[in-house]
Amino acid sequence: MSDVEERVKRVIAEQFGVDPDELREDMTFAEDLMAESIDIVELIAALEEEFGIEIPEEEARRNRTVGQAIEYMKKKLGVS
Amino acid sequence: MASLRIMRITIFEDGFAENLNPLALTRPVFALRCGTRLLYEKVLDRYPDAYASFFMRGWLAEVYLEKFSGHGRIKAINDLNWLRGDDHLIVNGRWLFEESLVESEEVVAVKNETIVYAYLKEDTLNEGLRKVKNLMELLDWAKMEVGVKRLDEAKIINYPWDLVAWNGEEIRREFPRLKNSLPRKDLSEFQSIGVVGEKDNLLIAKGANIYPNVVFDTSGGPILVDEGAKILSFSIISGPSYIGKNSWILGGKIRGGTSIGPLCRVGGEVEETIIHGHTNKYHAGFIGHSYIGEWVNLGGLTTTSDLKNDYSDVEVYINGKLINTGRLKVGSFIGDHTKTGIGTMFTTGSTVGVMCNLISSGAPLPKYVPSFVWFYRGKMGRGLGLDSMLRTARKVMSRRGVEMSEAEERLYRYLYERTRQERERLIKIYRKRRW
Repeated sequence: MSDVEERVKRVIAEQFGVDPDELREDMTFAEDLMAESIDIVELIAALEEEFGIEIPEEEARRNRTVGQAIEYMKKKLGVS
Repeated sequence: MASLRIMRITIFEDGFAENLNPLALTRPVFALRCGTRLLYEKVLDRYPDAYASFFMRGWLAEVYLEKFSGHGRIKAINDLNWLRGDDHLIVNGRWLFEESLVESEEVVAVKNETIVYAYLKEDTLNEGLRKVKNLMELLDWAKMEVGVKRLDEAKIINYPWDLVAWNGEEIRREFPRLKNSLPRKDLSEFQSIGVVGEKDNLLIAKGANIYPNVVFDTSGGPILVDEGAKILSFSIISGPSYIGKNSWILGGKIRGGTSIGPLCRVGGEVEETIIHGHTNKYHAGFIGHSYIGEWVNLGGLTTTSDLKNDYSDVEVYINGKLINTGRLKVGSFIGDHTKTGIGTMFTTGSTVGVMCNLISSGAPLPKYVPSFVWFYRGKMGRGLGLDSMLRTARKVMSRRGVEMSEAEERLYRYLYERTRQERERLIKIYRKRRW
């Protein structure tokens, strides 16, 4: 697991009160983690703080699964 | 179809019934309310001489056989054999029935992929019934046998918010006929009630009682106060609205687009909402763009949000999937026998299952609450279990002189098991989150 992947998973896990090991990449925020719109706002803020970057909300909301969020963050940070 | 004499009607649930959950967990879709009537009543009312049968999901059949046992016109449930022996109008239970759209020729009418209705002759039915195993197969066979007609103007209920969105229009549509048929009181019998708008658009049925200083505003649509209803002083009711039989309005603000079923107690503010029946919302608090099931008790200050602060489309969980309603205003959908404590707040587009016990800690509850859970001190849990929930339900019903039948209890026990997996999943997901 890459450093970015591990950190994104940790932030998501903290946000939704789950164990990072329980997170699967195919899990959806809306259905599997029951994320409400305000939870997504908080998650974006937490990821911004973790990585010290700005994340446009409209871009971030296109990520519907944990895996998509990890890939998005990797791209954003320029790591593969 | 004035020239055609319909003597037999069948109303059926198709494969989309569960899109109407949690309201359709405990009843067939055609027993949901829209306007002044339940959906199946809209059909039967138009053909007062006809006999009827229903097709519904199997687990509901026992309860509805019992409920309709004293109803002289309903002859069968889930019985294909009843379709033999006469011409038949077969109606989708999700259709907001419109008699003028029924044609006097053998046809299967469809909207997109949905069968809206079929009118089939006895010979066609007998031939088809030799070839099929169930009603949906029969209708698919009939499409090829008698032909298909597109009926794009038919209003089909796909989701619970459709009932709410069309409620006001249905009251307007049904009002003229009720005005001519329902025994009514003369407005001069009441002292100091105020009517804003056309007095002709206010219908107070015989046996209803209006206390002094009640305001009816018919400028937005008609108002029907049904038999035995009681409107207490300082209530304001705006049309289109329907107050059902023996329901009380306790100084409430009933805004346009609202239907209240029988034996409800309603105070506070209610807007564009359907309250199914036997439900209490005695006190202050706002309920908007919502459908509240039967035997629900909403504690004082229980409030629903029906508009997001960013004015974006409201999304609603239906059977585990988050669906974009495409609507700006959507409130809550609350299943039968759910109780809320004082100050309970529901976020925009909330769904709450049946027989829940919800005690808020101040913040809005989770957007989706599965059936048969307790929510207290910011946590979701199993509470004291099903037997305790059933005891409370029996007590609630007995206060209105109704006994829960053994068949109803079996239905709830079945639903408890049916919803168990979802409930356990959500309790686990929410276990470390706090509200």
